[in-house]
Amino acid sequence: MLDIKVENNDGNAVVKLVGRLDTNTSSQLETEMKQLYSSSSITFDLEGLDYVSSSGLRLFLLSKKVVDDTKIINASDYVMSIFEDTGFTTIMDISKNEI
Amino acid sequence: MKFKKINHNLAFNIVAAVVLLLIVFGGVLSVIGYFTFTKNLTNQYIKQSYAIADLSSAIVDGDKIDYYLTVGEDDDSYKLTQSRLDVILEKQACTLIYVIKVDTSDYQSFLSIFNSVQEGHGYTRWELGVSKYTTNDDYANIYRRLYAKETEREYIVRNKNLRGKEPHITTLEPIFGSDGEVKAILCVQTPMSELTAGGSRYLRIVVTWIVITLVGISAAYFVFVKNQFVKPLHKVTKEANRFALDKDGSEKIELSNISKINEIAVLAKSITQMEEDINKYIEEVKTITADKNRIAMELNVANVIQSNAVPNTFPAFPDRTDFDIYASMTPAKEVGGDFYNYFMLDDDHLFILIGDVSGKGIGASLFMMVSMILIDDRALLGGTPSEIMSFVNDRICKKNEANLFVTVWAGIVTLSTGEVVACNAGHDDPVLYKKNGEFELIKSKHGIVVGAFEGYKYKDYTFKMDKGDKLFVYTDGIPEATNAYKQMFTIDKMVESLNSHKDENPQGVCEGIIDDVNKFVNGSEQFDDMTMVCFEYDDQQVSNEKELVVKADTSNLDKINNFILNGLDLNPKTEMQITLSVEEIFVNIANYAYGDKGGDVTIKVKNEDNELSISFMDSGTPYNPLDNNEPDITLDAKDRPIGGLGIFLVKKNMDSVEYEYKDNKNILTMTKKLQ
Repeated sequence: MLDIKVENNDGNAVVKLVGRLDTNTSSQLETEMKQLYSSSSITFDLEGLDYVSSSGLRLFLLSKKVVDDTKIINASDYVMSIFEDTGFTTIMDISKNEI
Repeated sequence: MKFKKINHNLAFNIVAAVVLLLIVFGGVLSVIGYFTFTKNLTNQYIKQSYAIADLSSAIVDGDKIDYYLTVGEDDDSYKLTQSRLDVILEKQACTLIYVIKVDTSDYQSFLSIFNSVQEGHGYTRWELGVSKYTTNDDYANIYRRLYAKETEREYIVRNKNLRGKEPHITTLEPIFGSDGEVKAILCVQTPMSELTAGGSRYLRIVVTWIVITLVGISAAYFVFVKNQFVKPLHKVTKEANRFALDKDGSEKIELSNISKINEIAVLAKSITQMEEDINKYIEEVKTITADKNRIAMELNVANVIQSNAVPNTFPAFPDRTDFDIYASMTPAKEVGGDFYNYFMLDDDHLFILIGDVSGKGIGASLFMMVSMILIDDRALLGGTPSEIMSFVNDRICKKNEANLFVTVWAGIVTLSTGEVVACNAGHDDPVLYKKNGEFELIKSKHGIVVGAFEGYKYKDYTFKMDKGDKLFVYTDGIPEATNAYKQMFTIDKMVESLNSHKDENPQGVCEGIIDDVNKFVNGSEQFDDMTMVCFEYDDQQVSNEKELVVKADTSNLDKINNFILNGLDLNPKTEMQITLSVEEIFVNIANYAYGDKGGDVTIKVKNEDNELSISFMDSGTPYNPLDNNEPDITLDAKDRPIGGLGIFLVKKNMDSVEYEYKDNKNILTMTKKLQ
């Protein structure tokens, strides 16, 4: 289950994800993202995201390639460990939950 | 508004047509009348003119014509005749009376003998002996005919090209001498004054009356049409329209007594009646639909009760490794008459049951619940299948007003030895698979169906299962499944299908049969309930090993994760690591192993010494996911390829990942120590 909320503040998009980003829900996100490729910046707010698999990682990478100003905020510990393991933290701005 | 326009047009059209008709009719009448009138009048003038001519010629002495020409006007008899002619002229109101002697050589000229002229018509008196030319050929021909005695008298009617003169008629008669020869021609010209005056007077009267009648009839007709046709029709139309479009939001237009015309009155009445009927039907349909919905809801509840009355969680006995059992039930309607059951009678004995109530639907489903519960409860009290069957049969026969019956097969498996004691009450023979062999029917003597004869004593039969053998029981909905060509699946095809799945576990066998039956019927409506149970006497010694077979489709991911994690108590992080790894491997297989064809994946899970081992087996394209080079995670975003991270994550999250290609299958095994 994945809940996606998109806010577009004058070309700066904020995408809030809640739930699981796996192979079945990633197509949902991909559809939403298609409309954001003309934004000047995209911020993924992962505060409610429990789980991410390689299908999700692929989408974040894609976003970074199309809109350079892509960043991720509020990643949980577990999700952060995945980003660290796969070196995603070295190619884009990812920050954890401010506790 | 639209309606007023139609109203106007309808009345206008009806009336205009009639008015047009009247005008045409009136016109035709007038024309006929006019011509008849003028013809008759003309004839009358001719007659009259002839009479005058006759009268005149009587007073002219034909023998004296030549004499007068020599003597001249002074002759007494000439003067007398002339004055008499004048009198006739005056009294008869003629325009001209004259007698002429025509030159008989060519009739082109003549001499005037007598001549009377009416004043004021533009004619001058010809003196005796004056020579004149014949006016035209018509006259010449007439003179010739008269002189030749071809005709006795002639006339010419002049009412065209009058050039200012009024219409007139000229009659011509011969004057005879005593020798019988024509001596002269007498002509009388009278005006047809009545013709003109009378003609126009006639027309005036006729036309005026026609117009008056026309207008009068039209007005009356218009009013009549309007009141009896147009207004009522308009009302009816409006009401019908109102009803069709907005019947609840507007007020009904009253249609009673709107016209004296039968058909319209009937129409209005019909519309009113139809409206009532429609409203009534709408209410009925509402009620029926509400009922239907209620019944559907109730059936849904019944369906839920029924499907939960039979065991439907799998794996059925996860803690038992010495056997495996799987079952499936598909009713033809919302509720059905098939049932199955299995449960442990004690630690070493498994009771397996399958039954089929005659018929389908609600009655059968009620009977099914009763039969199943009776058998279950009696079985728990002990005894052999035949004893159980006999007891239950008596109980059911006592309360079988609907005369339903049920076919049953029941068996008790002794798990330590593999011995099966079974009883068949009119049910289809089970199919037994011997390891490394084939599925074959086990035939036995069938007892009578349950519910038919009170007091019937059933009999048991036995057979032995060895480790690795499989038993398949079913209801006749499977061999009798029918396709669009009215062909049945048949027992033979079923056994064939079983053998094509003989190496699979019970779930694989059942799902294989379901697949094959579905392919066979190819969309035709399911006619009978289809139920089956497959039991495998396992040879797995290893504890805590279980197996699942699914289609290689990403929609099965949750099912697989549930299967693997079932019964394990893990901390969230470990759980997510396992789930992630499972997803990466399975998605890979689902997307690439079978291309478009699709296929199955077998997942084996083993839990030994707190180490979880998960194997994925598919018979798709040979592929070793571990072959790929590790993705370079130090590359920049723009240099990174999209993909290849899956295996990386698996290796990161699991303790070990191994691959081998064996027996035409890709086998990927990963392990993780559980905390």
